[in-house]
Amino acid sequence: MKHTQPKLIIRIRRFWFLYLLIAPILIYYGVMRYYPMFLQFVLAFKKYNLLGGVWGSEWVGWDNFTYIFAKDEFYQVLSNTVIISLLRLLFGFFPPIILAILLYDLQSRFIRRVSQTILYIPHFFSWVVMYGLIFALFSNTGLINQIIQQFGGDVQNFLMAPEWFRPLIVSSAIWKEIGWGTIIYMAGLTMIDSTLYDAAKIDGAGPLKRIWHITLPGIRHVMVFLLTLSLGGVLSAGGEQILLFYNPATYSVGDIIDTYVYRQGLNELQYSMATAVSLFQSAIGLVLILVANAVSKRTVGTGIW
Amino acid sequence: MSERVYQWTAASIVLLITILSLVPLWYVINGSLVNEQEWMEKGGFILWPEKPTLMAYERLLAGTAFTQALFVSMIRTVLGTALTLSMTTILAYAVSRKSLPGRKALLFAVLVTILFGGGLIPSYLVVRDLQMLNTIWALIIPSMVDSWSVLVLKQFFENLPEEMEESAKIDGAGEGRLMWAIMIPMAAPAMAAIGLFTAVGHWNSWFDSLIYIDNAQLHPLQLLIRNMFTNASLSVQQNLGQASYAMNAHNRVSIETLKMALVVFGTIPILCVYPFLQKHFTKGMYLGAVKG
Repeated sequence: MKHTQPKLIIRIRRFWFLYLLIAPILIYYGVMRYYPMFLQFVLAFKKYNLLGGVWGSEWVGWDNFTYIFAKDEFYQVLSNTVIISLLRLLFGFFPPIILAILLYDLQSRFIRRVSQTILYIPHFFSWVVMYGLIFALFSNTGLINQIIQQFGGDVQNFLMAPEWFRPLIVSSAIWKEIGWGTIIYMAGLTMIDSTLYDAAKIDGAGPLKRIWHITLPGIRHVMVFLLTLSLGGVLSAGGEQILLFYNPATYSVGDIIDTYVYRQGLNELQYSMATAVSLFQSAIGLVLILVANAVSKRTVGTGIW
Repeated sequence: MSERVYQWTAASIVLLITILSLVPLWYVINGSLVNEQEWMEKGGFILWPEKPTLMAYERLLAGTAFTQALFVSMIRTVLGTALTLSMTTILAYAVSRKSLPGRKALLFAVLVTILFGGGLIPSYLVVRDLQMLNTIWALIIPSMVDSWSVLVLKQFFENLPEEMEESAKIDGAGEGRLMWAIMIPMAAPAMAAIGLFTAVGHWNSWFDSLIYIDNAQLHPLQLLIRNMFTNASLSVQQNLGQASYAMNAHNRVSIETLKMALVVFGTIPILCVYPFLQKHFTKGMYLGAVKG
């Protein structure tokens, strides 16, 4: 027998208090989420006038976009963004996988417990605290330079040197997130059928063979899912971290879309131009994430939604 | 490779990474515990303080800039978490009610905000036009509802046993009683997790105060720490208690030590709630959300 829903008006009346409760939330979504979304489409096609505000400004069509696409600066920023994202992926993708497998395989429950407890902590530190830690280690008077000097070496200006910027950004992010990154793989590992391991033991397979033939295929879907997710976010290269770590001496290698939008928009008050850049970033980002999701769903059957 | 060799290798690598993830914090804590004399003698190479002193912390707590920033951070964390948690719970409950008219549209509206944001400048302009610049509200209202948490909590509400709902209805409980007296109390563990993560987020955030707050008296701790490291402006450092200058290096702390003490302060609340956090994320609740 088919379940019949009561009339719409009766259902609405039944939930009146719930509507009342979510009313402020709907206003919030409207004002703080959807209105800015709408505003960015308007602003990107206007020339913002400080006196007239958004609505008193003049429409300029695609001018903001032709302006940024004609700038060398923009391509520098774009390439920095993509390079830093890909470096993060290249060096940051495998360490959590390796660590998760090692942790999972450990027979000593004590070591595993203690390590897991400690390894997750840095994830919860703010990037400001992280910069403080990095500064203590890598500044001219920091621990690393003290050690270099003890061995008779010259002080390396790690925080101001363009050649050190990207290695520092990428490695400090790996340091912060390696433990946290293992969690999703640990969950995947526990779902592997344990009879497979028993069978491997009977067949006399060593640990490396076991990892190659059972463990890695068992977490393949998690790997592909996370990989596509990061490829989808290739235009977001970690603005919060870079905003703290970079300085005029390292702009050439460190300035990314997020930091460029911040400086051009809020420091130089180029609202329209900065909005056009960030609209470009969101549009490409949206396409990439939709494609990434579709790819992940097709190859391993796991999507974001 | 034999299993024994593998176990030894695995244990060594895991322990090495574990130690490496402790070293920076260890160094900074020790560096925050020495006077200027010891700092100079060892050239900042402090792996174990010989005469540990809390002088840096006393200096910080004596300065108004620091205590004000601490206060702002505490206010935003408490108010912001309370508001976000209540709003997120209400919305999550609403979209978990299958018979609620308009549920699909609401859910869609929430999902869209995960995929597409308003961007930095438009968000800034809205906060500005609402006259929220230089007020605590600029740090609380823009992040009032977290769409991800809404989905996590919705999932949790949907997984609650349906018999609860049915027996409540048989007992004559209306929708209101069902929500307040039955469903929300049962979601307490999930709400605790979301509350903790929200609180950590509030305590850690600094970028919103950078763009929304000019008035230095309203800066939260994280922004104060950031300014101390990146601006190196003398005024910030003087405000932090260096003004009371002692002649004797035994009674002074170096500026580096003061900075380290600030960083330690930035981590203390995190380390305090960490055991509770760990309980929640090891249960894998956030993973359930990721996998949908």
